[in-house]
Amino acid sequence: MLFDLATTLTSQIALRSRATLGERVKIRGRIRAAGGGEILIGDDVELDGRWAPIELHARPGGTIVLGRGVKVDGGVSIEAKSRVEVGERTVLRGFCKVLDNHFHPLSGDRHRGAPPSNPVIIGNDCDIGWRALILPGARLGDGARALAGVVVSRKVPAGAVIGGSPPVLFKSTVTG
Amino acid sequence: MSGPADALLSRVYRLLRLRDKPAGHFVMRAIDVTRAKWSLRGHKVGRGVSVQGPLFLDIQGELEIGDRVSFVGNVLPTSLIVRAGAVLQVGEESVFNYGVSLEVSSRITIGRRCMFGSFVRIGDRDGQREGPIVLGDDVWLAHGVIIGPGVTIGSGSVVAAGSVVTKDVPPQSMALGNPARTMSLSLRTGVSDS
Amino acid sequence: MDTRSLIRGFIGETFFVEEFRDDDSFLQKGVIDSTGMLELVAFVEERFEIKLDDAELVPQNLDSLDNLCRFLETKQKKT
Repeated sequence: MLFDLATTLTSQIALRSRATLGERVKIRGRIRAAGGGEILIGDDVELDGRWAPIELHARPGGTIVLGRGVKVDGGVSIEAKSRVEVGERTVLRGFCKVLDNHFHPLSGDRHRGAPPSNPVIIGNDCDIGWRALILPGARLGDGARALAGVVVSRKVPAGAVIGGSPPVLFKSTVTG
Repeated sequence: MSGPADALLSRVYRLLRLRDKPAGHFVMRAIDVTRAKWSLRGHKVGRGVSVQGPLFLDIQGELEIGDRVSFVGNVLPTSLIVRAGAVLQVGEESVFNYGVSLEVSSRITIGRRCMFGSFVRIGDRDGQREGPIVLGDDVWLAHGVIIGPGVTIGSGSVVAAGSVVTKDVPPQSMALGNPARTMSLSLRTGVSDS
Repeated sequence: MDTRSLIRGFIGETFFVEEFRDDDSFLQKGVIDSTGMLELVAFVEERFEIKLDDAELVPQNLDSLDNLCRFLETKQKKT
């Protein structure tokens, strides 16, 4: 129990030293903030790493932006070599993963260096489901939803829902 | 904050920064190799194996880890479970990210220089089927991939993130989807190696 | 509607690309990626009631509108 307390404390110290935090940011549990890049966390963001740690990994030159009011569940992992942006009030549910680079080339020496990055931009008021995977180049418009377990690597228009395997897009029927 | 609390916290802070610095890498590697020797004591382990974070082991059968295999990342433990009479062999220079789960009831053989993304799951027995699993050399399983019983994946192949593999994958191919289909490795993403 | 227009329509709607040339490489132009390829294959199989072998999933059969139409023509001739 003391060990839990120690790891929680050290991870919160690490986050505060490695990220730029806005006002009233709520940090609970373990947060792994690493990589040498830039992590920008807006006002009223909530990070809950009590059950499973949250990973925010920005490589040197990379930036992770969490907009105002974003909520991040336990087990979530965000990796940026260039840029990952999460819009205001978006929810990232348990164990979903967002990355802007595959980090290994497909063939040859896979440790020789990362392929080119492709920034990921998630709009405001989006909902990223449990264990969803948001891959390099994905763009989610405001209010878009990624259902549980879906793998998204492309544009999802505002208000649309994407889910299933292969991923199927449902345009929102609600206008306005 | 003031006084002793402050001093302690800044010491902790500096320690946390250690991994980001070049000199720190050397020290951390020494720690990781020592950690490997401790975590994997009693099993057949090659030279230069390193363990960066927690490792969960339940080995009733046989475990063999090749030279310079590394277990990286320390967000969540990687788990190796080998049941009585079962065998797990891992080829040299393979790399495991965090949260990987390998569970062996008969036999899982992994080639050289394979890569396991975070949360990869490989089990040779599920509720219905059981069968040995074989990965060739240079196989890359991306984040979250699940490999089912009886699957053989040929050398050089890639399984795309989030895929669930239930059938064999030939060499030099890409498997993608749930359940995974096999396609040519050259049907790669537009922004990729070149 | 002919095959070409049908597929062009599907790609436009599914991947939100407005313009691409018949001979543009989907992958290189970033029109669709590997996961998108899978969706395209699923669409083609369902719409044209054919089954593609895994071995047929190669760039020369799939990686441009020209390639795809040519491939489908050959495929449909065989059945």
